[in-house]
Amino acid sequence: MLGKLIKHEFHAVSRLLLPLHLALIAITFVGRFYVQFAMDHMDYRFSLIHVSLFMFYFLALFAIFVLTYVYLYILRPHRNWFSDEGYLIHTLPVTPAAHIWSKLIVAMCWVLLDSFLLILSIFLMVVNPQVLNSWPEFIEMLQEMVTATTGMDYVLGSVAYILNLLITFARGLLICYMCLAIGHSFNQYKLLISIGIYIGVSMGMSLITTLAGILFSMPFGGYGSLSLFMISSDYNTLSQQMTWFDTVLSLVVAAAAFFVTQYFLSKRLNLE
Amino acid sequence: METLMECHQLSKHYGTKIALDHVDLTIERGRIIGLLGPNGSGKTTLIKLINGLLSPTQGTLLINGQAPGPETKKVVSYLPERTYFSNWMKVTDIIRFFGDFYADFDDKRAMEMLHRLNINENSRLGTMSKGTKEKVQLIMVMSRNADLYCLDEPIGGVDPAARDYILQTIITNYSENATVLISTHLISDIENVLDDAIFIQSGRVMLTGSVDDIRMQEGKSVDALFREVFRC
Amino acid sequence: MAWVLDDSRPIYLQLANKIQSDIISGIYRPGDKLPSVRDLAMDAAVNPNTMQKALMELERGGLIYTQRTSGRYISEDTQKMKSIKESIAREQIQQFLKSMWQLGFEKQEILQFMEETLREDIKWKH
Repeated sequence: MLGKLIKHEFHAVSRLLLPLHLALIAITFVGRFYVQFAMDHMDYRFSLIHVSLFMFYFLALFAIFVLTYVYLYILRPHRNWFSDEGYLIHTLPVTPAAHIWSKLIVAMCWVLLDSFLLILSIFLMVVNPQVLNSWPEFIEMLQEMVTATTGMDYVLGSVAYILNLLITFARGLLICYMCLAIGHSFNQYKLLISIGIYIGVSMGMSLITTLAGILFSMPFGGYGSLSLFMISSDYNTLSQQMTWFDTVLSLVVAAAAFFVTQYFLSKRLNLE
Repeated sequence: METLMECHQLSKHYGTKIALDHVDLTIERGRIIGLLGPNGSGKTTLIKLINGLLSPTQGTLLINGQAPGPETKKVVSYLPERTYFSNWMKVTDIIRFFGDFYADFDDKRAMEMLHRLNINENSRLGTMSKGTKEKVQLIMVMSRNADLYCLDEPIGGVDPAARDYILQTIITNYSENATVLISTHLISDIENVLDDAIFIQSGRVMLTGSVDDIRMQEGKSVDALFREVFRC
Repeated sequence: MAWVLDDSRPIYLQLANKIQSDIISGIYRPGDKLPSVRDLAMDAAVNPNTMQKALMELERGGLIYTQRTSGRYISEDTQKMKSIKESIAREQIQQFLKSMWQLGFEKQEILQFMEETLREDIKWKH
């Protein structure tokens, strides 16, 4: 049953997202050729047009990015679970958990694809022999960034970073599902309650993370003495701890959001 | 075989509002039952509870001896008052959807009914009139071989010809193993099709009985009795 | 076949009456096979259970019988049909006479009216 839900979810979601991202690819190609052409035939008289088109490109990218996220995080779950469609979906012989998993899995796939395509698009726009030459340097820079933030070697660090990223995406989705589910269970002020819970959860997580930061940095002389007097190995240890803590916290919050959403979908559904 | 549906002291509260008040009911197989009551009497609440869209505040509700959940949803077919399909779906998409999720769905029966109404299976729901959309929904719901069909106000706001079609569909798909529960306030139109009637008002069951018994005992139609009982 | 069902009497009795008239007036011949319960129910736009009840009534009255594997058939007992036809006729006459008496007509007048009307035209028969 879950497989069928996932299949149907992909089908429904791709109706919007596939054309959107094909358009992204098209814009990238057109844009790339245009940039090439403009660079080869530099003419300051057209610079205004160049700049405008450039802005348009970024605007388009931004719009595709925002639309994808808003659709996957809010519009789709709200429409499918809490509008008239809810009458169809919630009378299927499927558990609430399966509903959540199907949305989560499909949304994750598209979020990752979207991120990948956006980065690819920007890369394709700016790539030239110069860029390609400095590729090794770029990779080195990435590795340094990874080791700096995670405090581990770049192999382990990359794994930890990617894992953290995935769990962060999942957590974000599940929190949105939860806020929608809780807000919808009320008869009035649904939107307000959803937003309120979201803000509450975000603030709560920030607070906990900050506290953890303070806690973890105590063995090293406290928060104030960070980075000025710490030797690099201590700094690495702290970074590692924070990275793992962040991952674990996200996991816990994600799991909690899952179960709360599940509860509200099964016992507090309030379709009108 | 156990009772198809039974509820015991079933209550549903929305804050201070009492939608269902300690309802006791038993529904057997092979009957066509009218759930009759004025607007806001609790009909839709009861049907939503049967379909697992609401949870009881108090009391129990069992379908084939089980509480509402994925297992009962396999054998209950629901036609709500509103259209629940997305407008972008084609009829063939819907047939595939039902076929995927409901093992008891008879796609041939659905196609046959659609063709008899000259509905093109490749048309999208968004291009159809409201009446046609409703018919498509009814066809899908009745093409399942379910144990219990819950039809919520299937003939309200529908032209007389469509009404006849709906009643005819219900009669044709009748099976001794299944029960059709029709919730409505338009009684005279469906009275001839009903076996039993349940009168409900303000969340309480006022009366249950077979249509024939009611006519014999009261000497009037169920519709006339309803008007008396629920006089404003 | 127009099924005119009124509001206050049990539906199954009305259905039984209608089928009975059809049998007696010859629309169904003795020995004919009756349509299935479902088809009859569809035609009358009623619940198959109700139609079933109606048919059982008729079986009880001896006008139809069930052959287990093949369905329901009209009885070939023409004697029985004749007697039912007669009792219906008698009932109709009783009702008619009652109405006439309520209007204040005497026996002689009633007979006179009957003869005149019958003589005049047979239009009403068809």
